[in-house]
Formats: sequence, C-alpha cells, structure tokens
Amino acid sequence: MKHPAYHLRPNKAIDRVLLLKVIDIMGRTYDLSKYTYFGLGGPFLDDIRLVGHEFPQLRFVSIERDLDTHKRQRFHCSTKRLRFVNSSVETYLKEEFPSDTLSIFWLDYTDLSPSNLEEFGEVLELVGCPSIVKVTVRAQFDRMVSSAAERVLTTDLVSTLKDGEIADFQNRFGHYIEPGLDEDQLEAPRFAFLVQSMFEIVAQRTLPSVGSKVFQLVHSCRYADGRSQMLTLTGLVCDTSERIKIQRLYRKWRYANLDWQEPHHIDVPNLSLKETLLLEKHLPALNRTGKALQRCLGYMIDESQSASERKLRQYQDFYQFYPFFAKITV
Amino acid sequence: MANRTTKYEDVPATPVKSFFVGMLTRDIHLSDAMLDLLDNCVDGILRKKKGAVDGKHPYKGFYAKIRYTKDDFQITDNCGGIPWDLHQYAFRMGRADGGADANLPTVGVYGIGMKRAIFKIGRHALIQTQHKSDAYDVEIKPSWLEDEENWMIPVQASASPMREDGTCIVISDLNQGVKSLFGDDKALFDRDFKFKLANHYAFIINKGFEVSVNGDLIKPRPTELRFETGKSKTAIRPFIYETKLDGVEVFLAVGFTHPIPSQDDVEAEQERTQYSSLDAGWTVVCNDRAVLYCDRTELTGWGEAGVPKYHTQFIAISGIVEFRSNDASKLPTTTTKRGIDASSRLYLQVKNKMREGLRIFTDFTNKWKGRGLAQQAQDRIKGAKRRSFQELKETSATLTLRNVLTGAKGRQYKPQLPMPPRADGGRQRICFVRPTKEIRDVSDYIFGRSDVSPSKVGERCFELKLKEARR
Repeated sequence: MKHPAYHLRPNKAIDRVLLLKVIDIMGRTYDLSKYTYFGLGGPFLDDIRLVGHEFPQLRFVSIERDLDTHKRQRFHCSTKRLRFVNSSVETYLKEEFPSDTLSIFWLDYTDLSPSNLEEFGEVLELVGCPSIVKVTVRAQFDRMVSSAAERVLTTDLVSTLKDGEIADFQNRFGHYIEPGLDEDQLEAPRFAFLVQSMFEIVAQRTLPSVGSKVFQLVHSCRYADGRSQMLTLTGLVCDTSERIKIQRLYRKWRYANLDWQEPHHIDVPNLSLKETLLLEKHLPALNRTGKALQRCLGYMIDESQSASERKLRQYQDFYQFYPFFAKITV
Repeated sequence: MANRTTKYEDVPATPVKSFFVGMLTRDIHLSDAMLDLLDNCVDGILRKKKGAVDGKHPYKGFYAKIRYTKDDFQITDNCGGIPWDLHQYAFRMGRADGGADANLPTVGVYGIGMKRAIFKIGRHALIQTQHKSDAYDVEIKPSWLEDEENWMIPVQASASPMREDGTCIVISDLNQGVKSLFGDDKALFDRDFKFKLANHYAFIINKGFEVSVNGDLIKPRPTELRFETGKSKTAIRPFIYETKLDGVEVFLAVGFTHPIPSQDDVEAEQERTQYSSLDAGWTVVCNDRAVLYCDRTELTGWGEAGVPKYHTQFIAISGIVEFRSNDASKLPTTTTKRGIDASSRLYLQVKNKMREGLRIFTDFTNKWKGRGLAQQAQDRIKGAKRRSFQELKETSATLTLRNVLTGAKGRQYKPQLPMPPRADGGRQRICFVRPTKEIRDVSDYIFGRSDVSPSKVGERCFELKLKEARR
C-alpha cells in the first residue's frame, strides 16, 4: 500500500490536464451529463478533484482494492456525485460495471503486466459508445544487469543474462508483441513505443474494425514520473461508423495522435516561483517555439539550447496548469 | 400411382467458380493462405535444386518478399519460377495427377494452394513468372471470376524479363475483411502473421531462406529443448524417438524449453495472466514446414491415455515431431497444410510415442512443483544448454538409442530425469487461505516488508514453529 507522492509530480499533473482537454473536445459534441468518470485515484483522488472541478456535470466512481486506501479516499471525498467501490478493477468489471455505460475510464496503473493489458481490453469491450478510455502504465524495462555490473562481468555472462531478460519479457508479453524483439527496443524511448503497440494490438484484437465499435486513439504521451518512465494513451471507443467524425474532432489538437505514431514527450521544466512569475508576464504568446521565453530568461535550463527551448515550449503550453508546490503550516 | 411426366436425364457435375472463389476460401485463414504462397516459393527451390536440400544452409540465397497495404498485396521471390511444363498443375483448380513433383520433398498435394490464396486475398491478380527461357504473365480479372462459362485464364509472354528466375504475384481489389486486416487492424495482423511465419518457417529460415514482411526480415523462433551434458547418472534431456514408416522418416523430441513454474507461479496464473503459453505444446513439421504449432489439445496427446490435460503448470514442456517424405501425399497433413489429419494411421502410431514422451515430463513437473522443491528443479533446468531441433538430431547419433519392439518400431532415447529427494515418512502439502491484510501484517512482522509472497510467509511461519517444536 505504498503510494508515490501523487500530488508532487509536474509531468503527471500535465497528463491529467491532457485528459481534461480530451474530455473538453468530446464535450463540445456529446452531452457530458450522461457520463460517468471511473478512476483509480490513489489516496488523495487528485484526478477526480481536477476532473470534477472542470466538469461538475459528470458522475464519479472511484475503484480501490485496498481497504485502508479506500477509507482514505472517503476521507478526501471532494464531491457528492462520487461513489466509492472497494474492489479490484477485475472484480468490479466482472461483477458490478453496468455494460454500455457512457464512460470516461482511466486505468491509472503504476506497473506494466499482462493483466493491465487484459483489463484494458475488458474495458473497451464493456463501455458504451462513445466513451473515453485512458490507460497509464509504467513503460520502463528493468534490466537484470546494470551498466556497472556489465563492466565487471564476462561478455558471455552478460550476453546470457541479456538473452534471458529478453526471453522472460517475451514469455510474459509474447501475445502482444511481434516476434524478434531487438535489445534496443527495450531502451527508452523505444520501449514506450513498444508498450504503446502492445495496447494497439489489444485494441484491435478486442474491437476489430469489421465489428460495430472500434477504439480510436486520440492522444498518447510518455513522461518521467519520479524515476519511472510512464506511458499514457487515451482514445475513444466509438461506433465504427463514427470513427471519421471522432478523428475530425481531434485532428487539429496539438497533442493528438490519431494513428498510433510515436507518443508525445511530456517534459515540463522544473522552475522556481521567481522564474515562473517572470515568464508569465510574457504569456500567452502566439509564437510557441520557446525561443522568446529562452531570451527572456537569459540562460539555458537544460544541457542544450534545443532541450532548453523544448522544455520552455512545453511550459508555454501548460503554464496555466503548472503545479506550484509550497510548504504551508495548517 | 399417378403418371409422371418428368423426363430424367444426366445431371451436370461441373464445378462452379463461386465455389472456388467464395466457399473454398472460407476453410482457410488469411495468414495460412499467405503461407501457402510461401510454400510454393519453397517448392520452387526444391525443384530448382532437384531436392538436394541437405546440409546446414541449403536455402541460402533464396528469398521471398511480402508487402501489403490496405489496397494491394504482393509477393516476390527468386525461387526459380513456374516452368511452363507445370502450368496445368499451377493454374488448374486441383491437381490431376501426382507426377509433377515426384521424388521431391514438397508439401503441395492438391493443386489448390495458390489459387485459393489469391481468391482469399482479392479479386484481381497478376502473376508474372520466369523459369529459364519461360517468361509469362497470367492475369485473373474480376470479370473472369464472375463468368461461369469461361474457365480459360489468359496467358501472355512477359513484356519485360525479371532479373532472376522467380515469381511475382500482385493482388488488388482486396476482399473487404482482408482490407481491414491490412489497414485498420494492421498492427494485430502484422503481429499474428509475423509470429506465425517465425514459428512455421523457423526450420527453413534457419536453413538460409530469407523472408521479409513489409521490409522487416523475419527472425526464426525455433523451439529449443534443454539438454544437460556431463557424466551424471540423471540428466535434464529430451525424450527422443526416430523411425521410418511407409517411406516417411519420423524424428520426435520432447522436453523442457524453460524452467518449470513453481506452485506460486501456477496459483498466480490462475488469478490473472502472468505468462504467455507461447512455446508450450507440440509442433509438427512436415518437410521442413510447421503444419501445427505448439498444440496443447488432444490432437497431440494432451488429456488422453494417462497424459494430463494441458495446464499452465506444464508451460515449460515442448515437443517437435518431424515427418519427411519425397511423396507429399504420405504426410499426415490436411488440405490447408496447417493442420494434422488426426485419422492418419502414420500419425496415430507416432502419437503413441508423443504421449509416452509427454508423460515423462508431466510426471517430473508434478513431482518437483511443490514449494521448496521447484527452485532446485528450476536451477537444474536453467543450467542445461538449449539445443535446436537440428542439434538434437545430430546429438541423437551420439546417444544410446534402444530399439522399440512393440507398436511403431523404431529407436528411442528415454532420459533418466533427476528425482526429488525422499523425505522421511513422505511429504504432505499444507494449504490454507487467510485475508490479504493479515498475510501482509505477518510478512511485515517476519521480514520487515509487507510484500513477501503468501507462500513464503506461510513457509517461514512453519519453519519457525518447527524449530521451536524441536528445541
């Protein structure tokens, strides 16, 4: 029952904001008051608080397996429209989830396992059309051999261990990946792309395009969350005949990914309060290259000019939601 | 009795095209139909090399390139092309006699593969082929498919020669289901097709044949079995059987591919999927091509005659049976060449041996899977080297194979696998269920962390109490 400090993660905060954007775009065409948000919000329910603030017309369900975390969630309840369920996602989907519910379902995992992929498939199968389904998983391959160990072990042993870790991965995820996995596919950022393709395969296997409903990806991104690399992908389960319409809705969005291209990289900079106050004087701005903010600061905030500008560009996109962490005494 | 005015006459039994185009194609999966086209490439090599495909890399230098999009499909090879002498066999619907590939280890028997594959994929096909001085194009148009009267397919000399002898088939006007698989569901189809290719064509790719799909070279996924060397009396080795029956050579090996799972792994699997059973089960190979891959049903002996039904605990067990013959009609395959004729007398005889081999490894798994024992067995299997099927065939020459005198006669090697140590008074299993929270509390109390596996927590509790009881 260990939880990361959910409330202190700037990239994760942006990931939540991107979900708001996806809901907002859908809400321009569909009546959100008919929708229920399903989340695995952790002890503080940050996602539900944020989504509930922006879209108060939604109903909410929080699914939590651990009894103490469930009680803690109740303590942090932020809306009357929220129902708490003390159950695993698997059991909830099998026993309680009302099929064809118009849903905004966020499967917010902290790890990556075959059961995550299966649950994603189950949700796609069960939700009504159109529904938003978002999944977040850890997209980082844990090496058996560290680079430090590689230097002291024999080449043969390193090679055997590496073969072993690829074989283990294939043994666990073989149903979701193409054969002939390369070792460099396990390195970031290619690993995030590989994980995304695993979800693509699950989506196509669960809802083939010859069927009556399909999963249309609208956004995906990867980001560092503490020491872990995460992947988030969000899409709409919709009637097959509405796919083009859904694509049109999201086509112009800067962070759209409609055809399973490489996920966007979310990497907002760590800025001091003094820096953010300086930059905000120049925002919003039409020019979104990050160059102007770079000039405004007068120094680089990353190792290269391009990396620094890229981070500032992201800050420019999300500055309104950039989290500010401060110590307060109550 | 009323007078009947109906005049009876002979009824026509001529085939209708819609049967070939619309019905026969339902019996085969798209990826199997595409493998049929590849089989034709390999049969072309066999013809070109007059069946001389011994040695390590007899197919080196030959390739087949497959490309597909939502609009068309293309397969190009340099495997010798279709000699004009064989046009009757290649383009007629069905094979009139078996003489075309006599004394060659091909898999084509019925003369239906290429046509069925084309009709499965689309309605417009252009086949360009070149074999020595023969160079001609065959075009099948949608209008030809709809014309029930005309059974002649237009052929004309190729306008431009190919760089090498070979065949190029381009299919367009794709069927609706195929369009989806090559378009919107491409990721899934790519995965499944490449996986099938890597398995079914593992033998041939390992022998030098190059197959690419949309530019990606396919890497083979050969089944490898663990083989322990050394002088120990007991060893982790496969069961091997070989024979020659009615002109068909048979070689069979079954053993472990991975370490066996522990009881914890099996129980976790029951709750939620942890592993893909990708390599477990039987693979049947006919003339170098896998016709059945990792089967875990009664078709290959699981769940019959004393062999338990397949279960995740047997995830580490794999077997391969190879049938080789220069007369493809003697091989125990179905018309799709991706299945086994379960009533084949040859196959039924060999299946007895498949079950005999399976039993050795299911018994071993059952004896070692218990807590405290599985780890020893896992370590032992991990320490054994992996050997490919080809290597096992070579190794079998150095092993002492016993003659089999009953049933399907032949020679076999039965490994003496290690046995778990006997405990005084035998062993019994303790099993109980407690609330997760309580297990976490005990885990935290004993190990200082709450996430130790329930079985380890239970086992440690027992050890502590045992120590106390014997003090």
